Amino acid sequence: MNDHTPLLRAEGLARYHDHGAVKALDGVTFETHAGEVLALTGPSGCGKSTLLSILGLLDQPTRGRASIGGEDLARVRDRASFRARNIGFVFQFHHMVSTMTLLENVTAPMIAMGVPRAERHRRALDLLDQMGLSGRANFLPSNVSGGERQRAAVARALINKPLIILADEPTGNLDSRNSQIVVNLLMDHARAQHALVLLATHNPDIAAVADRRIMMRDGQLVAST
Amino acid sequence: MIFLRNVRRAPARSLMTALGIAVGVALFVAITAITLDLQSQIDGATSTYNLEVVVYERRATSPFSSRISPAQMQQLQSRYGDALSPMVMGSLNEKWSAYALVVGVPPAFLRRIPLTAGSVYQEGSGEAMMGEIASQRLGVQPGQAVSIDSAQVRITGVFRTGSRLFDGGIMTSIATAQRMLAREGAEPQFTLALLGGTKADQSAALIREINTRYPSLRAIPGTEFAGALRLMRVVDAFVTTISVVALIGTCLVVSNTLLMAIAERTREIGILMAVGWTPWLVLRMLFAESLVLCCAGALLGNLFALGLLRVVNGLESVGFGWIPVRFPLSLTAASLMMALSVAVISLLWPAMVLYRMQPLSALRHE
Repeated sequence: MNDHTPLLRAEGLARYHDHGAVKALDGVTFETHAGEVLALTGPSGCGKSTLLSILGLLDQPTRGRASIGGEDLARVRDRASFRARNIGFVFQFHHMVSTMTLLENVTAPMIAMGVPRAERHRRALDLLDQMGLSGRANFLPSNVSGGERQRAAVARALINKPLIILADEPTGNLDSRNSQIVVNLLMDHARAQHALVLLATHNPDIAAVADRRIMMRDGQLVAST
Repeated sequence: MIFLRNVRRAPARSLMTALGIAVGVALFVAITAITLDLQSQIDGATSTYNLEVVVYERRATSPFSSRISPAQMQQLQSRYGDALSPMVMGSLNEKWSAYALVVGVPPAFLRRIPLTAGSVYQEGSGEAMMGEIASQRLGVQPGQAVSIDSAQVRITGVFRTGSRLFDGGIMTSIATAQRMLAREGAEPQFTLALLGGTKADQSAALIREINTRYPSLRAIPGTEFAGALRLMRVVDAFVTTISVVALIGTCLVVSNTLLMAIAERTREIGILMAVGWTPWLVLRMLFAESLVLCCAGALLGNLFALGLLRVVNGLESVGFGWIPVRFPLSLTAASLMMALSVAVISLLWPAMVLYRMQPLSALRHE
């Protein structure tokens, strides 16, 4: 695959609930390349999270198709393994496992990949250090600040060097200073890894750092800049 | 350790689960210990006293309820001579012991039993020897008298067979034991005829001969004596039933705990699935938690069982020598295996829940 081949392609993606009465996503088509940062904007309930869930193989579309790296997502048999290898998630509320230390949370995607323990720890400690969390590695999430938790969540999303990072309102629960820190870390590391970032956000300042912005409304793409 | 932190996450629930497992394990261990001990005592006695063949009444439901008439015993004695030893055996409910084992044997048999104090009783003198455990528990010394069957019996000596069952009772002459154990108005009977000092192939031939020549009697190898006791078969069935019930009960307790853990941690399980964990990986984490609870429960259960046996052993209504106060390490190992089985079986239901769980709905779980 060369740089001109889209890494991610969505064709007419739709997700209906209640036998079509609710159209969470309604015919979304777009494509994007590796290394791009794409901001998804739009009001609450416009379908941003649904789109990310389908692209992250957490949900299945009612119709339409999507592919990552040329692989049709509908044909992926081992979806858990595909997620572990190719997709990094950053959620709004950091979503850490409360009984795992930050280090263990960051190593979790590598466990799914079968990476040996020593290598898991080495890579996770290195990344936590880059996130400014080396002194917090063995802390439980409840013992660190919200900003630190979200930085650890970013480290967890990046640890397997995925093709795509799906960030759903990653700064929604942070103050502006921490928001900036988290977004900068996410962007810097994603660009260094040449990963595609799909960033769902309400925040125009955050959306401004993206290479491209797609606006959604009522489950459809309404503008692209 | 993640699984230990998960177990400590709900300490009261984890403790109650471990205690639930401990109760099941304690029941299994205590009851099995009693059965194994009874069996090993009987087996030990038959091998220690070189009893290759045991003869009892064919229609008796067990050797203990056997009744061999004096005429039959005389026939056996005239045929097998000194190799055969008649025995009268039974238990009495006396003030000094609720289940006092009374064994009547000829003086020749007593040559095989070491005395720790005093001397052997005289035939027909109303004397008896007391087992070491009974003697210690009652504080009876040779020369003192105890009341048996409303009569005073003088204790001439204290013996130690190594079998607590026998050492918790008394031994006396055949005639005295027959008098003690006979129903009012009934003719004195013998319980068993014991044949010893023969070789294995001779024993087999003897058994065949007795079973053919005396249709009203049954001869069995001494090694099968414990198994021939109806009591042992009943206890075996009881132990099996209790073990199965304990296993099912503990599995349900642990399953319930794991299901509650899944319900409480659904969102966190969703996070792990989102980052690529399969249900199998999540299940492995739950298995470690289940194993910790089950092992803790098994160890506690063994301690409970020890305490339980000591308490029951001290009860006067149980009698002396019937309850062991310790059990073999193999039983502890068996209880750990039981705990391991519980840890595995109790994962079945949680596994079904996990395999049906969708990552997205788990992530959205409140």
